[in-house]
Amino acid sequence: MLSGVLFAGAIFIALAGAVVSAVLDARPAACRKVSFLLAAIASCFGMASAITVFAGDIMNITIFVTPSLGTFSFGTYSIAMDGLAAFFVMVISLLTLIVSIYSLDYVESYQGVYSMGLMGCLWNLFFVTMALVIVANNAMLFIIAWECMSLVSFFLVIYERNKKESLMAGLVYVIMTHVGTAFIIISFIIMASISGSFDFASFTTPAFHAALTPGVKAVLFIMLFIGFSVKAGVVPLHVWLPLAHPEAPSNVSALMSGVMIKTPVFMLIRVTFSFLGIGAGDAWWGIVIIVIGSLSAIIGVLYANVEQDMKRLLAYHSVENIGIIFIGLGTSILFQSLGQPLIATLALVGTLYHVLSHAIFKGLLFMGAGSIQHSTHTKNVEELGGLAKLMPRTSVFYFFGVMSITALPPFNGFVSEWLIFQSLMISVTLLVAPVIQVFIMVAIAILAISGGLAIACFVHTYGVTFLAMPRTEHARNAKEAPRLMQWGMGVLAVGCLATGLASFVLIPVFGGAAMAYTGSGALTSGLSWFFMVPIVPGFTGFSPAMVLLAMVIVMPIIYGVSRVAGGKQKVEIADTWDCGTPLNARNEYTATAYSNPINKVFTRIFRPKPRVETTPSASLYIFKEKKYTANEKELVIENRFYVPLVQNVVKFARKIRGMQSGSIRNYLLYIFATLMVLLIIFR
Amino acid sequence: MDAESAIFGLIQGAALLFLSPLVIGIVRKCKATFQSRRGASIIQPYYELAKQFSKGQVISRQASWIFRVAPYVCMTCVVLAVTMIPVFITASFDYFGNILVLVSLMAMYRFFMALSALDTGSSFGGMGSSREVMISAIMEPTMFLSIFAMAAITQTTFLSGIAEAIQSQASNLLHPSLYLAFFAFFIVMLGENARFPFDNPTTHLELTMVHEAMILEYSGKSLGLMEYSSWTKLTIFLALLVNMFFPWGIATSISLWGIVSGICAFLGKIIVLAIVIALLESSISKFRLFKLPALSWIAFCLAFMAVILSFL
Repeated sequence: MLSGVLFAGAIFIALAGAVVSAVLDARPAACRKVSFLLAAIASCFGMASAITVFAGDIMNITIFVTPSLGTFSFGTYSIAMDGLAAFFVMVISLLTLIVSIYSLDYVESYQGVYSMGLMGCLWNLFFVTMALVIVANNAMLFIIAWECMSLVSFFLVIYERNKKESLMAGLVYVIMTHVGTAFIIISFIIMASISGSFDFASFTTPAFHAALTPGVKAVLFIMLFIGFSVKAGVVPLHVWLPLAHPEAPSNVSALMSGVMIKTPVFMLIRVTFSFLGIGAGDAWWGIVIIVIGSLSAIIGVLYANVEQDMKRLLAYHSVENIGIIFIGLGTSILFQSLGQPLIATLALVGTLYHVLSHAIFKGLLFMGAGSIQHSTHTKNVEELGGLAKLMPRTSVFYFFGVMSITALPPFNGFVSEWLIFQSLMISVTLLVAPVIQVFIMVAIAILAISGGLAIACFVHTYGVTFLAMPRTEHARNAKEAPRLMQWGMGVLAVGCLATGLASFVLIPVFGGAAMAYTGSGALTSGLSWFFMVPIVPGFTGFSPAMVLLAMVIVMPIIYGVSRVAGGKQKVEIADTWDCGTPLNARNEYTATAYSNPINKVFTRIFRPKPRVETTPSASLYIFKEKKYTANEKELVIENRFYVPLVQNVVKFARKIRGMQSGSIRNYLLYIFATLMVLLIIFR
Repeated sequence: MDAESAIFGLIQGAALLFLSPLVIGIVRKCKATFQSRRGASIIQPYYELAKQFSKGQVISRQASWIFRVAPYVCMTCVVLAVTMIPVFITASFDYFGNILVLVSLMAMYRFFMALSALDTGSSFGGMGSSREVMISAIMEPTMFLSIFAMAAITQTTFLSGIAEAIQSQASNLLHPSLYLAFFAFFIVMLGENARFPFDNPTTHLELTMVHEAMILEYSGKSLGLMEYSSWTKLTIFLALLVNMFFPWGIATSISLWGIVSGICAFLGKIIVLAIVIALLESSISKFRLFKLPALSWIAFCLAFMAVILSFL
């Protein structure tokens, strides 16, 4: 019950924050401080409630019973938190807390330009709606929360409403997310009509599972999968993501990319494992999710590689990482359906771990990008450079995020990707049908190449942004980020390392949450102090803490030995070798040039279009002037699928426009005709 | 995972660290012989290291802390990695984890080297770094699939476990996917270590160098560490090739005879591989950069077939 009280506290404090910031709109400085502080306090309560659930408390609160209309009712609006929900509430609250602290300084730059009350109000509401999405225990309540979350995030995306790009991005986002919501609503209505109630509890009963015919189950899975995938932003439904993230304020991107796009992952786990139930014939669900995940991973990371907008690059990496999360989820569902709940648990733990890792490192990276934008007023990496000297702390924090996202040991990204790799590789110890095995192989290959490409991508963004010399005035005048922004980034930077090292503590906790869904036994068969061996002995076993310990021991030894060996060394500071031309920023490799080999290797995907413009020259000596330009990539999915789709929808709308004549008599006729048709069908 | 494997891991790691310049020396000597040159002595790399460690160092004014730290991090990565490899006995330092940890240590090595190349602001560094990350990215799937094939045959992903499983069961040595995976991994080894046909380790021509371009701005002790770590990386990959795929002669239990024969077998196999590399480098030329994806496809197909066959 304590968890319920704490959770209610979180909700009411955040709602109070929303109201107070709306009231204080006229005094922006006070409004900023109060609203973000209240959001931070609310998220502390959220974390506390999640911790009490982890500690064994049960939360199940009825808000109110909807009045029934004859035989029809929306059921009981209630909220509940199990281990899995507690995990997601934890992640949401953790990130909200830290990003709120960061925002206290970050949002200051909007003061006087845009309404501070609006920002504070939406920010608090965003936290409330995300938390409610996780704990909602009734389909109607869930849809309300989900829809509110979409709308609040939409308004946050278009916060900088004087920018045309923001409005465009917001429009694409709100349309796509509503298409997704439509699928979800239809599926829940079908499910409610079968179970006879909108309560989620009624979807988990054996009677409901027995009533689901395989056909209905398949249709429901596909519709729910599409519905939730839109929000998750997996390929080919990702198009809103690289538009919305760069246009939203950086603190909003941090929260949207860090946690909002994970809420569908939670719902997919719930829907597949708990509502629909994974049977022996449902292995294809896993395959579908693995295939979509693999596609997202590779497409996301490839587009990230040729991107120069720092925030859009991170958005594409979100597509990649959601892909990795989906691979983990798909693997889990696959093994669950093959009757291997223990391995399903391992894969699910990997999935959850990556949700946490991605929330932490992506939050950090977006905040880093925000800090850079805050101090240089640009997010184009080609205009930056040399920031490691001008913004030393930001550069170190960002580096931690980069080490995590590229899955280097002993950071958290490494642990989670490692777990997903392991659960895929364990398939060799089972007798799995060769067809399935091929999909697993492809997933392994794609995870591997996206790891390699992620390294390529982050070497160039980090190198071009932070290293060598500043390329423009913007970069030359960069200053270190304000204190609270540093704190926000610093805490998450430590978090990247800490959640990697503490894997031996976290894996059993996540295992507990996952076990409730897979119904397997405990994950860890041998847990000594910090070396862990879950399940199959020959397969899993690693210790990030040990790796770090060894590094900490070995590195000073190497330093000492190389100092002593060969005697004392004369160190001279001099310019880089410049081949006789004066050294300046033009000598540096650009991000475009850096990613060019990858662009060339994957020409089939990027379809770069070089163009040569020839113009007659006025000069006597030169006959023609040739100008060479190239666009690096074609957005194939957007251009080949979405653009024609939109065109056709518009065309169709134009055709049926004649119906809307403006004459009331016609409209009455339509109403009458509809009524007749309905009467004939339903009588 | 006991005291013995820890001790053997440390001994074998130290041995690999000590041997790595020698391996380079052998490759160079063989290459010289094939090219009808006399060539330097096989212990020349040790002299080179000694020379670099006794020289002064120039650090770029444009560089940040990454440039200074990278040599130590790179060396740390390979030092951690060498302890994980079974050399003469199927026991190694398994405390860090399985082979995936080794792979990610190598990724960390590459990450720091590629970043340090960008740090000085020279175009050469960027050029080398950009090529390096492209090559290793397209080699990555092959590497993982060959490991996956080995995991399928041996039912483990621990290096010592793989060696032991193959050594203790003679039928495993005839498994076709072993050979396919070996060749795939061999191509990966060439790519990861900047050997022909991916890169020319002796070139200093701006337009073609990959690895050399990355360490161009290093000098003195830092250069020594960078070179030493890259030599050790080559030795690591060679040791993986010989002891993961063909652990003939490796000792599976502690006995004097087993260890002696294990050492002899390891040295013999490494020398054979060194000769093969030298032969390759004397007989083919470096590929054009954008022909390399074709080679990586070949390697990938080999690894893919290896996995398929391992399920039969």
